[in-house]
Amino acid sequence: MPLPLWAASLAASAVVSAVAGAVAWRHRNNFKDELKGKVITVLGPRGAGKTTLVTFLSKGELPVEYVSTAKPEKFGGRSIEMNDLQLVLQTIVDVPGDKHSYVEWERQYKKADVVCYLVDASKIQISDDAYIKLVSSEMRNLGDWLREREADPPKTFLAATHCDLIPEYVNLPYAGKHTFLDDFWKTPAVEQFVLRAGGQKHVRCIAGSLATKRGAEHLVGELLHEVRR
Amino acid sequence: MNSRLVMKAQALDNAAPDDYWLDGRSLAADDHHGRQCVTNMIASVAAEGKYRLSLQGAELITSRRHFLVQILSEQRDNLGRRAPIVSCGVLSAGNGLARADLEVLAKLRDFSTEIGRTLDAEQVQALASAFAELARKRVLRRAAVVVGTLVAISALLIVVRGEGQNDAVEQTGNRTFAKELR
Repeated sequence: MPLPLWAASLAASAVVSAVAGAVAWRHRNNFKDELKGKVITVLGPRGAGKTTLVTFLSKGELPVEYVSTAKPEKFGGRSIEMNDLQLVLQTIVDVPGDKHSYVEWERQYKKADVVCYLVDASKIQISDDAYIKLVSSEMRNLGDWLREREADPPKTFLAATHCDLIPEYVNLPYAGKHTFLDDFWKTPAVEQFVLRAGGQKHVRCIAGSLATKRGAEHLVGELLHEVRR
Repeated sequence: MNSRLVMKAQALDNAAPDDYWLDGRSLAADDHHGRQCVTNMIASVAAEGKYRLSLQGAELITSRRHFLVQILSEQRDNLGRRAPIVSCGVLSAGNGLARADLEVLAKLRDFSTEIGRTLDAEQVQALASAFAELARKRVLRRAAVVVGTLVAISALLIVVRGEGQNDAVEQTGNRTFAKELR
C-alpha cells in the first residue's frame, strides 16, 4: 500500500534526526511548522516492536535477524526512502524494555515532543493478565512523567502492534478492521492505559503491524499523519 | 561499582526476572538497587563508549577505562530472538593486559553456563581477538607516552644545564672584570 499523499509530499526535503528509542524529525517544507525539530521517543514492553520500528526508521528495512535489546543502542547517519518519502536520520538510540531501563526511558521521555508507546495488541486481545498489568504500570509511569511536563506536554501515542497475530482482525475486510479497532480501543484494559498515560486529551491511538515492510510503512505513515494533526 | 565486573542476561521467557551477576555473585530478584546499578553502568558505557568490535551481535565497547562486551548465546527467547549477554567492567592496568582482559571471557563462560546458555564460539573468538588488539594498542600508547616523557625530560635537562653553564661563564667573567678594576 503506497503512503498517503501527505506523506509523499514530504519528499526529498524531509530530514529526520532521531534520539533514543527516540527519533527527532526535521522537515523543511509543508510540515515545517508541525514537525521541525521534533523528537519522537519509542517506548514499550519487551517484544512490542521497538527495535523493529527503530530499525525500520534507521534503515528503511525490517531487521534481518531479531536480537533482543540488552543495552541502549545508537544508530544514525542514514537516509531512508519509503515510497516517495525520504528521511535523513541523524541519530537514533534504541532502549531495552526491561523495568530497570525505566531510568533511560524517563531521560528520553523528558526530551521528547512525541512519545510512541508500543503495545502487543494480540496479548491484550487474549487478556494476558500479566502483560496488561505490566503495560498498565508503564502507562502510569508515562502519566507521572507527563505531570512533570504539564507546561509542555509531548504528544503521546498508544501504538498497538502485532495486529497480524489477531485472527479476527486479519480475516476482516478493510472497513471491518476499523470497526474492530474501534471496539479494541474501548476495551476496559486499553481505556485504563489511556487514562493512566494522561487521558484522551494527551493520548491518541494507532494500530497495525510491523511484521512486513508494507505494514511498517503503513504504521509509520499513520504515526506521522497523527503527529501533524 | 566502578571497579567491578557485572553481567546481565535477559530471561528467555521475557517474563521471569533477568539474570544479573556482580563479581561472580548472582543478584537476587528483589535486589532492585544492585540490579539498577548494573543497568545504569551498562547504559552509561553504551551511551558514551566507542565501538572496538561490532560483528553480528558481538560487540566490544570502551569508554575511558571501562569496557562493555555483548555476546549472543545460541539460545533464543520465546519470541525467537537471539538473546545477548552483556558484561561490563574496568579494563585491566599494568602488565599482562591481554591475559587479564581475556579472563573476562572466561567469566562470561562461567556466567552463561550457570544460567544454562551456550556462547556462540565464533563470537568468543572475535572478542578474544578484539581484546588482544585493544591490549596491543594500549601497550603501544603507553610506550609512546614513556618515550615522549623521557624525551621531554632530557630536553629540559639539556636546557637547564645549558643555562647553568652560561651562568657559570657569566660569573667567572664578572669576577675577572672586578679583579681588573682593582
